[in-house]
Amino acid sequence: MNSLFSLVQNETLKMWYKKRFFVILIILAILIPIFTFAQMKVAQNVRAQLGTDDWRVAVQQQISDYTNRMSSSRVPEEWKKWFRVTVQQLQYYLEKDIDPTAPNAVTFAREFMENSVTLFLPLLVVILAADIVSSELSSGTIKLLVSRPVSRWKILLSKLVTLIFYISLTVLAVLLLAYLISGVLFGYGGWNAPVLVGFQVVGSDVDTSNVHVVASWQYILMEFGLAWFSAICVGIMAMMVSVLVRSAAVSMGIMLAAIISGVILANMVQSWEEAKYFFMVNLNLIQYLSGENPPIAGMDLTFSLVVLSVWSLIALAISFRVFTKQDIY
Amino acid sequence: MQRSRNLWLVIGLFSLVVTLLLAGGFGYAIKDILYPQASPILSGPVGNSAPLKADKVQLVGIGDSLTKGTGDETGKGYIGYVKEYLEPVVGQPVNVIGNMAVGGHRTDQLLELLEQKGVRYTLRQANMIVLTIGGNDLFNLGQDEVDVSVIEQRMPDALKRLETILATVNELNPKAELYYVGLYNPFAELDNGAQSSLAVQQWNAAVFALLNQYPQMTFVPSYDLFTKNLKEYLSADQFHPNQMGYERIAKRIVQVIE
Repeated sequence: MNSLFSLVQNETLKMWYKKRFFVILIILAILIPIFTFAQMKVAQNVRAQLGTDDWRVAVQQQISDYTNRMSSSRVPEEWKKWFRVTVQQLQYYLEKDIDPTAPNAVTFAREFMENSVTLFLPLLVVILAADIVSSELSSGTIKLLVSRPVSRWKILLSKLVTLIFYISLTVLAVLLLAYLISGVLFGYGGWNAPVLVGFQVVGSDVDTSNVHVVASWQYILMEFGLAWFSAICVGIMAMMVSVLVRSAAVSMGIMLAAIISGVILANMVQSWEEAKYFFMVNLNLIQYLSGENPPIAGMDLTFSLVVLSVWSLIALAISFRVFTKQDIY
Repeated sequence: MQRSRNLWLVIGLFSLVVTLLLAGGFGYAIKDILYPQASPILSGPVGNSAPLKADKVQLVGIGDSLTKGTGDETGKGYIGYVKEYLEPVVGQPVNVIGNMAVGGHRTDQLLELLEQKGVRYTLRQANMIVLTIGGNDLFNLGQDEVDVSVIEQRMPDALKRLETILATVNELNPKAELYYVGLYNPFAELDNGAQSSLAVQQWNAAVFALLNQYPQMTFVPSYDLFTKNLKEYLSADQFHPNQMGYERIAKRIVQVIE
């Protein structure tokens, strides 16, 4: 147990000195101001068009726009379904007089994570994890590691724990940077603003019988918790790839291909139902919290969690099996 | 060595705390999604209408595809041109705070729409409302022909619903000026154009009578704008106005206000 502890310590410091985490912070610090600015432009545009700050009027206009697109015969049926769900949710917000997109730093962080969870956050995780094992193989330092009197599974476990630590820090960094940077323009309030959760999509309708209010900070906690889980699944996949493939570039390429294919699949496979068994189609756990229409019928939180867990467990089994049996010398 | 030991303590402890926090959030989310507990949601005070500001025109559109602007390639529709033409006339900014018209809507659908809280709220914010409705009630869309007997048969019910619509709008916002743009006859050049034109004018006359009950409501005729050179002012679908058609409707509305 003691050896595992010192291994984790060793790995954590190694990861720190590799400066990968700083790369992530720099990427975030560059990207978030861009998105903040874009968001502000959008808000200004809406205000200029409507000539009013009243969010109710803006939400109603959004509803009218969706309603019009629904009535067009050229719009595909799946889109109409999504429009209908969105319209019903927006109407519910109006009914309860709750602003769904109050412009503040908390809302920005919320939306930023909503849009990051399928592509951007996994990408950051891959930066951390892509060569977590293979770098040691290619640089030969693994020999120093395994020549110590500790079992190999402990070495890999310590790498896994370290990876989970840094994924947690990354998720937190996304929250903090999104909040702090966007707050410059949008203001730092809004932690207690109400958010509606519990919308259930049934067919093309929304069941509102379980809708309830949570404070924004509770929503953020839940949302980032869900994102954290899917990020860890991505991390475990990436770790498996880095056990199997020696080149960091190749393992990064494999992971990126998998993640991007997930985004593409989620956008186009409404009719190919079996695609829901891919882990990368299930990364967006947040959609179950915000009550969006899942990309493929039959997907719900339990389903996605099971798919992600099964893939992760298999990946872990492969990783440990290969790593402990691998011929290193 | 001591430095990296301290560093490890900081990173290790901090990331452990963050990990536990996120894991807690994850668990909380699962509980909340799988076992949602409905709670009473307090409704806010939406009912109050904000005081109308006299320093700007707050324009709201309701109705069908004509108010939506279908057929105008610039996407403005007559509402967009009203904004353009009216601003110099009144010397105030004209804000289109909402265009809630939906293509293809009939009087019954507009009545349903008027039940929605957001629609009612937006209407209360307006001090000018433009409305087109009835075309989809009378004409059987999707056909090149128009059956005059069908128009006459459908007219009484549609008028009754329009009466309710006007009463509802009046109840929501009696102060806002309402302009109803009358029907024109896109089928005037068909074989039975003379009969269908009569039916359209019959509708217009009946609507005028309904609007006449409310001092703030005005009937804006568009029929005559589309009698000569009809094809010039219709879009490719031979039903909706094109950009020029919409510009003419907008000029007519602004003339009425001037």
